[in-house]
Amino acid sequence: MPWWDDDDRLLDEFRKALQTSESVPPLVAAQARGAFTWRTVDEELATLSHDSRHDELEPTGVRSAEVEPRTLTFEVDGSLLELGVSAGGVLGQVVPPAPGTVELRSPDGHTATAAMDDAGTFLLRPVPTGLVRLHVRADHLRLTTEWFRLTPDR
Amino acid sequence: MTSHWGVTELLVAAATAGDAAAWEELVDRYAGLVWSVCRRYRLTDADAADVSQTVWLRTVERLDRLREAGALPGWLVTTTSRECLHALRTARRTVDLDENVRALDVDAVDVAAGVLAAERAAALRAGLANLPPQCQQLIALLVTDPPPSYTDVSSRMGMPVGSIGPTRARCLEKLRRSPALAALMADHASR
Repeated sequence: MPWWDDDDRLLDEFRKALQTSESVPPLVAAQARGAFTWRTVDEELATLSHDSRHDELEPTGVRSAEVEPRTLTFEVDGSLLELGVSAGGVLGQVVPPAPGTVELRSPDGHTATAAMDDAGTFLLRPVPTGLVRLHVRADHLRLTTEWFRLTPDR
Repeated sequence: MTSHWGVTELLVAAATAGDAAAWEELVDRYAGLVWSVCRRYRLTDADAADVSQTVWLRTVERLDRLREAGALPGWLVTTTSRECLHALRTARRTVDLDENVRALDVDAVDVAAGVLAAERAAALRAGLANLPPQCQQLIALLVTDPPPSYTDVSSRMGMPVGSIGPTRARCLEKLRRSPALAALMADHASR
């Protein structure tokens, strides 16, 4: 007999189900629901193809020499966005280069913008912490990076 | 796994088309799954909250690619595990992670069980929400831990002890006929 046909087992499943739902803190559930407001339509999503932070560890797990700045690479459809993040700011370059603007956004509503020069380079500062994404706007290019996390050390 | 379209796939398709209510139902179904994976990696509450937010933001970005039947739960578990490892690395850069990573490796059986439990819990909660208030109260009372005596239930509900058993049976029968549970049973039958 399946569990749902037996009254006692059905109630047991309820006990478990209600416990599970209670274990997710309300703020965490609210943030998950709120993620939908960040849905973008018709945007090219540039995915993170390299993050120096992810290969800082030697196989032994001991951290290798301090890598400064942290470098990240995002890619989409033949366009490349390279970032170098240090305490001084987020230095970036778009390849192929094009002048335009770059906007940084975080889920809490924080934004910062920077101009992108003819070489496709820009500097965003000061560096916020937490989850962020970049929106790049140029003549023939509109790309949005996936979310990534900036930490206080860089 | 068959290629039939279950409730989750329909919700993903609706959310992709911009239906916010469908998104909220997806979150209600799977927030517990994401959270339980974070718990398994023993992240702090703050790190687990960060990972959960990252995972759900990534899910929004990729909704249109997650329409394939059954794709979402497995993707959530894989993405959560990866983000948990990144969080652990950031938090304890000098710690020997190899041992931790092996010990905390989430195996496939755990994942499948977690997905089933999350789907079941979501269907039960949705079914409960559709029951008459008296049934909702009675079931909520009956599943408290430790279980109350029928005398307790009688005084809390203002219901004769002799009616509790029949009311319980009637409420559970209504629950089985609720759309959420009917869908879950159909899902299981077709697997």
